[in-house]
Amino acid sequence: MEQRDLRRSAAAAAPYYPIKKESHCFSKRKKDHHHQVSGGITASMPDDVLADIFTRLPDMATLVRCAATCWRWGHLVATRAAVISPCMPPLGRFFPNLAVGLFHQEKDWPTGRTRDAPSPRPCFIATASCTRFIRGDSQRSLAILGLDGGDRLLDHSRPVASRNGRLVLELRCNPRQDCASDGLSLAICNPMMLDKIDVIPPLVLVGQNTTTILDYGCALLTGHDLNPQCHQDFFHILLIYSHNHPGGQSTVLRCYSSDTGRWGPETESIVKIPISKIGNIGPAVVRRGVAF
Amino acid sequence: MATREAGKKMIMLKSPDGMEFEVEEAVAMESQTIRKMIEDDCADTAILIPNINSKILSRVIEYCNKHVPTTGATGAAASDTVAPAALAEDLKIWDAEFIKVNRATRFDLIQAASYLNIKGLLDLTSQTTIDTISDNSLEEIRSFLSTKNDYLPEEEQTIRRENQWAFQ
Repeated sequence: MEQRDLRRSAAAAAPYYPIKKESHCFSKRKKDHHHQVSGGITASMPDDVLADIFTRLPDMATLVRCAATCWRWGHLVATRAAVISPCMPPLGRFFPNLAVGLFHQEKDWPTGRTRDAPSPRPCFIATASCTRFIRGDSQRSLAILGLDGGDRLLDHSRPVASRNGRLVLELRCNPRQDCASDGLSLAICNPMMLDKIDVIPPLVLVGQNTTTILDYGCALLTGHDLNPQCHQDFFHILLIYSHNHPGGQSTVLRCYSSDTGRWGPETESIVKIPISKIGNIGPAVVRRGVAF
Repeated sequence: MATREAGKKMIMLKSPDGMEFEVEEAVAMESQTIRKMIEDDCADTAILIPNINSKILSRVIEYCNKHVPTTGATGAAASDTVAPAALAEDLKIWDAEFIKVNRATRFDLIQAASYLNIKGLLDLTSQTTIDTISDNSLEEIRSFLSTKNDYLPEEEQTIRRENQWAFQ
């Protein structure tokens, strides 16, 4: 009975993944006859063999259904995700049922005539499936329009990453100014909570030729990712970009932490990504505190 | 090629329930596991195959026997001379007939193919299983596996809620 209770408490936190005290859970589970027979006809099959079958499944939806059939399969799919997922066909860049909305921007960049036109900033349009979650509050999600209190901070800004309700915007309010001195300006806010916008100190590169970062990939890690129990306002912004320096070009990673309020030092990546590809880096996926 | 002409070297395979199968070395070497044993000189005249009972082992040997001329060490040469397309077609029909077994046997075959590392057989058996699973609902997969839903109700709820799109 005690084993059963342990399972219940661990499993309630995460149905397919024993997050905490992993080894402890496994040793208990092994003795649990209930789980030894899990998997029906495949109960006697070694994990490796089953995982191999999962890698051959035609699509992600079938894989999810398989994971939902019984505890053992679900656990196996979760623990072998690194092996199984790459074998699945990509879901496509847009998944209508999962999208909560989209950002829309009238003009990407100001022209002489429309520079003073109103609302050249991104506005959020919620999809029908999203209204389920925000329950009629969809008006609030559009409030990003008024977030900057009229000082036009967000004009022409561009959403670059989002995670757990927070949104990272690239500020491009002064396109006329000398970009070289500006560096890359990012701001972070939570549009749903209507809180203030945190402007991240601009990132200026020291180098001979290029001092701005034009193409980059951005990921946001929130406190919740690193510690599910933590609801602090803490976050990390990860950037990946190319840096030209006298020795040549290298792909670097850089991290901004809300703890220190500063950009960390550049870390050169082992993998070199051509500059043409960096601009095409899609949105990052964050899973258990790791950005992909 | 040399061994085949020189009177076909034979290998004895033993199942844990005591049955012995005498097969050509080339047939046995369809299994990468056995091939490795032979190449590493770990194999005497008899190789004990643990975990695989005689019923399954005989089916596996049947498969290897059928497939040895096309995929064995001499495969490339053989299939060049005998019209390869017709041969492949013939094998396909044979495979389809071969895999018409009950679920339990098929899962045993998957396990055996995996242990013995016979790629062709593993592909065949896995694919057949996957064809049965794909496009089926959760309940159908469960009944196919004759598995009991051992998730707690709230666990299953969570999975369904988080992955709604996969259940539509």
